[in-house]
Amino acid sequence: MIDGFLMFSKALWGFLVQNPVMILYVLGATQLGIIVGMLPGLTATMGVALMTTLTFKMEPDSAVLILVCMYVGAIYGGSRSAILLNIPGTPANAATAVDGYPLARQGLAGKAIGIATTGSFLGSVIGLLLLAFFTPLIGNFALKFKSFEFFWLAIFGIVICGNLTAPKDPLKGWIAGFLGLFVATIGMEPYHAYQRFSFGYMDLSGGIHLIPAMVGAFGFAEIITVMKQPKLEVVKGKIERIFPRYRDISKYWRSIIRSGLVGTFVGAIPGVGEDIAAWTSYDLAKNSSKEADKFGKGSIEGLLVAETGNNSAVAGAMIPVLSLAIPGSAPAAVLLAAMFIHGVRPGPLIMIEFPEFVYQVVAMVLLATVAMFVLGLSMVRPLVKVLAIRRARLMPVVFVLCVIGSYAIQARLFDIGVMVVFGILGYFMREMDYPIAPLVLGIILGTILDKNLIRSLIISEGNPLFFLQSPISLIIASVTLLTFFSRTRWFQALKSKIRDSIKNKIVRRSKPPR
Amino acid sequence: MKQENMPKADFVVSILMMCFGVWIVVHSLQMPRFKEVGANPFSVPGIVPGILGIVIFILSLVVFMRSLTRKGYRFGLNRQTLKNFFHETSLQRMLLTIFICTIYGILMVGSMNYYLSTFFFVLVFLILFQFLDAENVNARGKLLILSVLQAVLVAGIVGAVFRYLFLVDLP
Repeated sequence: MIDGFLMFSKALWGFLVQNPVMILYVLGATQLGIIVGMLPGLTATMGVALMTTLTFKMEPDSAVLILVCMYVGAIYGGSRSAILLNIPGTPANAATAVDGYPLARQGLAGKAIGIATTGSFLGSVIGLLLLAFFTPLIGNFALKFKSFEFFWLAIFGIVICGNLTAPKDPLKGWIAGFLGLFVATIGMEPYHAYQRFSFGYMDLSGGIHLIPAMVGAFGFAEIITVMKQPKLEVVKGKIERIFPRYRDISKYWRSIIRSGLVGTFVGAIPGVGEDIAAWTSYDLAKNSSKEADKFGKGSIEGLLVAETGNNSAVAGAMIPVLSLAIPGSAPAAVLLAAMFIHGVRPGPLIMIEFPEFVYQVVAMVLLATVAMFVLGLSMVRPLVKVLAIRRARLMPVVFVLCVIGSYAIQARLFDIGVMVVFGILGYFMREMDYPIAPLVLGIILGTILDKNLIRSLIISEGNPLFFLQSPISLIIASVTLLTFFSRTRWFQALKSKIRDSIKNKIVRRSKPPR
Repeated sequence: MKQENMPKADFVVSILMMCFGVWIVVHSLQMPRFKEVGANPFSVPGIVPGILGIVIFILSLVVFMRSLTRKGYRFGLNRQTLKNFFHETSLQRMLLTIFICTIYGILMVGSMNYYLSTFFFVLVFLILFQFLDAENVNARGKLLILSVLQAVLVAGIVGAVFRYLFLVDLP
């Protein structure tokens, strides 16, 4: 732990003192992230993906720093439009709108923005502490993982992501996930260099690159959705005091800590993301709050926990990125791709090959968090004007960036086509209630699944019992199957039966004997 | 999409997905086995996509069966419903967005000068959607001038930033 603290201090010193230009990068990227996040139609994923192409030729530490700042800024920035427009700038801020917008309607927009900023700051701080603590632990533990464990981890990622991103209909989440796994098989397969599903096209034999697919699924799909909708109306009225009062925050310290822990944990679950983290934190806070009746009507606590939850998930999502090379969210997936592009190899070996990188990322998150807090409280009034930009003016600019951003990674016109196709696919998937996150997670996990499934089959000679031989495989497989079957009717009925039986026994025991 | 139409959408999409699953499996079975080079039978190229195809088929089948119980096969299509559907403003805006963006991304970029293609795309997008949204017919002249200006600026700035600042070759 002391070594970790020393590496963290060295990284922070390097960013702040040895290379002061980094401070400009931090401020610029975080501010840009806030703007990207606050504009409906520009998501954090798209911002990070587009920024990846812009930072392509930079040094790895500068590039990753800019991407982390963009990520943190964008997740926070969405709270602005959630509060002022009742439209979350990113899906992560959907829970923020529930109490943020009513507060704005009551003439307390400034207070709401101050509370949201403070919640985001505190959530991010809790998240980065857990990032620093758990990443080395999980990374060292993951060194014991072999092919069977990685195979089950890939399947678990798809199942849990599908479960949580499509709570009403997890079947659709799983279909999206397995579709993503299939997309990853397009191109040259790893053992015999055979070109799968390329049909003689050279471009397809190179496979489907993650970033154009993500820019399409999250960017172009969002543009189509935004252009379809009616006009947006910004809440009018003066923005008064922004800086929050101490008692408004300290009163809810328990909720803040709980939301930070829950948000980080949910953020670490593969592919799930900040929106689930925010809703989970919100629901837990509402169920245990003494002011539950205020939730949905402008509750300070509701607003605070939503933002704490979503920002702590940012650091949480980076835990599996660094330790397992599995993203905890869509923007984290782009971050992971960017790390590989810049020659950093996250995964179980990171604590052996690049241990200082983990603490550099912690330092980056800290810098981004502080910048977000400072910029978030100081640049409110000028940035509100940005929200008034008409979508018809903004969306073509966004699409131009999507096109050039998709092209810039590999200088292939084919990638623009991939972006367009995934954009249209992503839009219709959303219309049909098929979540996109499992699709994207599937594309990332597809290579892991492909290699490890074949390796496992070769080692086991097709014997399925080998897949459950090690304790870790058995645990991951059991959790996967439990997650899968937990949504079936007979499991729900069994759960109710057991719960009722326990309740009856407790009631019988508590009744005094006649 | 309205929730009452979801069973119909599920019915159609699940059939497409089942067909897709079958297609994946058939195509995977047709992939070579490399027996002549002594390859391990579990390392053949078709094994992983084949398994994924089967899973996609099974999951889609469950969605299909569920859509049948919810009577998703009853489309209730007639002239009036189709007319109402195609007259919806949101549908028209959606189709227009997809059309313009696809033309730009697939046909224009790469086949003509980047600055020119971007200029025309932004100009057409602004004109079409702002004219659709225009409250005042007399303001269309002003809208046109501003649109041309924005199109020039976007094409110029984006192209220049990517080419000269980020050293990316333009398509």
